[in-house]
Amino acid sequence: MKLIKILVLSLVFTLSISLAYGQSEVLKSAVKTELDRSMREFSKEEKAPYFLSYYVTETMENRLTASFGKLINVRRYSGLTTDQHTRIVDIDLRVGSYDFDNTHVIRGAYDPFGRLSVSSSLPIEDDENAIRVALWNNTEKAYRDAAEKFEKAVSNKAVKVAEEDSSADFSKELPNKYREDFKKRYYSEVEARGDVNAFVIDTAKWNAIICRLSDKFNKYPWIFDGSVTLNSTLKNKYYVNSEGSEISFPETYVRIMISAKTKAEDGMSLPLYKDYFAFSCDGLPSEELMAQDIDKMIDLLDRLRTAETATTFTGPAILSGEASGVFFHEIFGHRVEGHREKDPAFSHTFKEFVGKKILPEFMSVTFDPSMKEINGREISGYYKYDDEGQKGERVETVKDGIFQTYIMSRSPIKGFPNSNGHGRRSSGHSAVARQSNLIVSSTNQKTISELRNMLIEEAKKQGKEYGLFFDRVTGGFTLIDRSMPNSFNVTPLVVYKIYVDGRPDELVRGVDLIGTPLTTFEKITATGDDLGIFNGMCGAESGWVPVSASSPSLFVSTIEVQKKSKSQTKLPILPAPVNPINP
Amino acid sequence: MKNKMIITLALIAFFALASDMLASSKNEEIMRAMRDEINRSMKELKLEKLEKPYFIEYKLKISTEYNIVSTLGAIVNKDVSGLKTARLDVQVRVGNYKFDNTGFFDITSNFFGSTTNDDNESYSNRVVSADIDYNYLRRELWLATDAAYKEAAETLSKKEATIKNFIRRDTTWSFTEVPATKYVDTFQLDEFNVEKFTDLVVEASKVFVNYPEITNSNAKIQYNPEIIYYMNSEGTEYIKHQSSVNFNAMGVGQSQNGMHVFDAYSFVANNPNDKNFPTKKTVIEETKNIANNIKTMLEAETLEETYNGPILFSNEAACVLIAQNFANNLIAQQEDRINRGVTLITSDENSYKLFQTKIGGRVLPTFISMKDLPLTKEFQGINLAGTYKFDDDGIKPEELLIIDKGYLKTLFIDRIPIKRVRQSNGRKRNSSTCYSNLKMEVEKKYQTSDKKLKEEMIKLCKARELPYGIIVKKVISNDLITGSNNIYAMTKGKMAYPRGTTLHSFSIYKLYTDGREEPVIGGALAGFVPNLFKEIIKTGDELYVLNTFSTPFSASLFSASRANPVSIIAPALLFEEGELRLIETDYQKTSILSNPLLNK
Repeated sequence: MKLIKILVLSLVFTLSISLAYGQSEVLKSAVKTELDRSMREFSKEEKAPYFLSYYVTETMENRLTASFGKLINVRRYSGLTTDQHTRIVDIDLRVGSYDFDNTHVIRGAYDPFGRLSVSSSLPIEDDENAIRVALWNNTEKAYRDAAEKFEKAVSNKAVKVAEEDSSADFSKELPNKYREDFKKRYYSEVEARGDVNAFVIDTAKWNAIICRLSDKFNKYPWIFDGSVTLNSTLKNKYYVNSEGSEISFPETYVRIMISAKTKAEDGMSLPLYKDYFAFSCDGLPSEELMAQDIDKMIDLLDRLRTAETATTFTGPAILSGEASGVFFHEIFGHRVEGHREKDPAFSHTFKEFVGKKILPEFMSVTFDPSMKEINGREISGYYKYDDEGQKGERVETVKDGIFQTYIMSRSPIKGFPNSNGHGRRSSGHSAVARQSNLIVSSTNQKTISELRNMLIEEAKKQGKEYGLFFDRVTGGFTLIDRSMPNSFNVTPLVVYKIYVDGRPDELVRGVDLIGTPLTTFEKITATGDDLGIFNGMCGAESGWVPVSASSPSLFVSTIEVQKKSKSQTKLPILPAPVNPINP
Repeated sequence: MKNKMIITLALIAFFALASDMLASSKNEEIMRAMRDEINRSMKELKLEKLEKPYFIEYKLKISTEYNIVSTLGAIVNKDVSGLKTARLDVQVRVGNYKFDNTGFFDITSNFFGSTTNDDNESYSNRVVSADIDYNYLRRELWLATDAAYKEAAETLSKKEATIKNFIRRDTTWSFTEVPATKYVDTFQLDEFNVEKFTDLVVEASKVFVNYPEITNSNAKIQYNPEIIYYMNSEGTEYIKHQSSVNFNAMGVGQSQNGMHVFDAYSFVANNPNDKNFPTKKTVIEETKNIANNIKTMLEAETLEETYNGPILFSNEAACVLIAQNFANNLIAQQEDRINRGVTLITSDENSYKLFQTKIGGRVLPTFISMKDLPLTKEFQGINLAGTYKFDDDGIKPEELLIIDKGYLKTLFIDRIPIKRVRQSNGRKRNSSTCYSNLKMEVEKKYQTSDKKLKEEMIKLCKARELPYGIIVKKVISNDLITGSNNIYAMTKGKMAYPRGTTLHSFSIYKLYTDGREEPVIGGALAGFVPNLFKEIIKTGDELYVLNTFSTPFSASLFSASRANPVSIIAPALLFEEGELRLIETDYQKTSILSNPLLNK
């Protein structure tokens, strides 16, 4: 199976109005009643379930997008209902035992839907009968699917060779109990409309702000996309399982995403993005600050469209802190997601490296979902409990360059029998180990100026005319399948050539950063004394989850870049219809 | 007091006038932006060595969607924000009316992304703001027209290059010329009464609480008002208001042998204030009727063997039969004339191609004719859903006698001609070709009462020594089965997906020769292909009006179109020959756990 992971700003245009309800006792009662009834009644079947969980996510989302000064309202459909206000249940029903159950990897089978969970919308109103009927219908489906899959897994195991990793399919964990109710936060009494637990934004105010911000792009006919999106979300989460766990808590976040695109004469599309993340509107920057960022973005776009294209290159490079965070998320983070070590289709990059050096001794890498902010900035990989009801734990995966452990869901692997609270997913998917807040730290810190000097010296040593500075990247993908080269491709947005002869730095475009992980790690020589932070959404086999990646700038003695694919479409034939400067 | 009233009335009149003026000025601003950009593009848009456009068309659709879904009296989805969305469609034709860039399928550009437009600059279904002003719209039109032109110009070159390797047999024109028209709709689209319709949907869905044998059910309403601004380079301009409202209540149960048994009540109209919109009492009664029918059918006996013999469709069932298995064959299909790539291999039956070469031939018994009446607003006091004044191309539709005494006279067509029909008859709706209000007319002597139709069937059965005949009282339209929150989804995909000409009905009865009627399940109404309609031997004497949706289809692989509201007006139909095929597939086992409603 090929894993393609993309870390990008989520730029889906939608709009809805958020009105919140508190955690509902009717819902909880209905869910618990059906859970008990199902376990009791299904236990009479030949293949009885040993585990059942319901995860109800009630989402109230508010999305506003403005493009070139005008509000665009488009509904997005997710699952069965619009995402204005939804209540979705994900069901995990397991037949067999903790050691061997229906989720066991069936070797040799192509099953693109194997990671999908039984998921369905529930009534958004608190009607116990209606909720129970919906749960009943879907639990029946979950049971039948599980019983069928279990039989297939048993026969698959019988006909295949011994497994490389014979760990259990599901870890035994102590039940968790936690309850936190959403504390009301009003941004406008009018908007709150009297709802007790409303998480609302002043839509009129924010409509005006995002329209004004996106209107700034109107002056430049060479900007072909110019939009600002605000997304505020409240999720009331309720998890209950047959082991006795019962967890309910709210999650909120607000995100502003700015996107702009121009095009060079040679057809290359040149996008730039800027993302602001906070847990409430209070944490967002001021309009003035965002306007200044847009001005900088426009200036950069203008320079990018006339910048020279870079060519294939190997040599030294500096990655800014933000770029390094994404780089680590891509090439390291996805390889320490524990469950993959069990699947024979994956490459198991670090399997033989537990207790051994994989990074320079001055570097450590931690995943910490309990952190809400870093250096005063809120970070989006925060959560209290993961999507399997486990408390999110701080996990130091690499300490002083030595690989320590994996981030784990409840899918154990050899030597790591328990979850550390990183089982994550979006609705409709089964949870697997996923990243939270990735933090790269270093004891070999240099000032940026020192890093720059190191770059120039290294380039001279290698006989290069220049080294590269990767200022901003937008994500990329990494391949971890055994049948594919174990390579990564990170997509830079802003790259500079730093010349060894003292010429001014030159902005270039049109390259992707490529390589293989172990070789690239060996080439990290020093880090900066800064810390770049990237908040984004990460997409993989268990859906989209919010993550962050923080890192100091990195100096890498040798990296490789290749030409990126580009559009072959010419610039518009006619000039813009209305002169925006003098309309 | 009187003075106050006068002032109030004056204020109302003033605001109404001001509102109209504002709307009118906004309309003019939109049309002016379209006009200016179309003129500039027709004059100046040209790539070196490639041809200029000869036709450009802009369509801006501003729409709102209201959607309420409830199950067992609890809201599942309520989208009533009334927010407007806007989408822009730009069409550019390069070449000339005789031969242009269209009607050409090239696998390299259509399957693997456009070679020309790899920037993803969209010109079809392009999302734009509904808060439109002149400068904003000009900018959007500029970029969309540029992308559409580049693709059209390159496609024409590819088509010309490809055609050199073909011996052309069909030299039908690419596009027909039509005179320019102009019109503006002035009527206001209906407001959606959220409170009233929420209550209606909730109360209807609540009916199922008393039917625990029904495992899944819902009620829902959808209303889509929209304003369409259209302009083309030939001078046609219009502003059209259109809408449709659709209420459904549906339930699914599972018989002891695992078969999914379902029924639905549906009401379709053009607007929510339609005079025929059922009252809450009627809706609840109709919902109870379908719930009771499901209950009856769950206990009905199962068909023992495939039945071949006379089949009587009630007038309501006959209307769905005509809509689903017959009417679409009356639509001209403009297939890509030059295909450098894949050819879809589909049966003529399933792709509604049976009548494409049958003009002049007999397709119905000689005592039956069919008319399509797009300009007729109502029939027997019922507003018809398929009525419209102008089609998508701005052409006023003709009222057509499409089948005259059994013989096919023409086909429904838009501006893309086919060999046998070369002029549009104004049938382009929501980007596909479609009929409007299709009315079946039967010679008097072949009409008879329902009672006599049954007697006629019994006579036929006796003559063939059949113990019983089959009556179909209702057929569930496919648009109630497919789609989100509909029947197929409610069975979690465990029923056969509707395809081909097989009809879904759980209102089938055996009519024994002694006059008894008994419900039966386990049979599929298969084989009701259009040619079988010649087997109609008698009809009822009462016409039923079915307002429904016609799901679009296209001979082209890629088309963006959506269902059109249509009406079918037809009597009960007695087929001398038909088949109720024994279903022999395996069914999903019934639920292990009982419905929680049983324990409440």
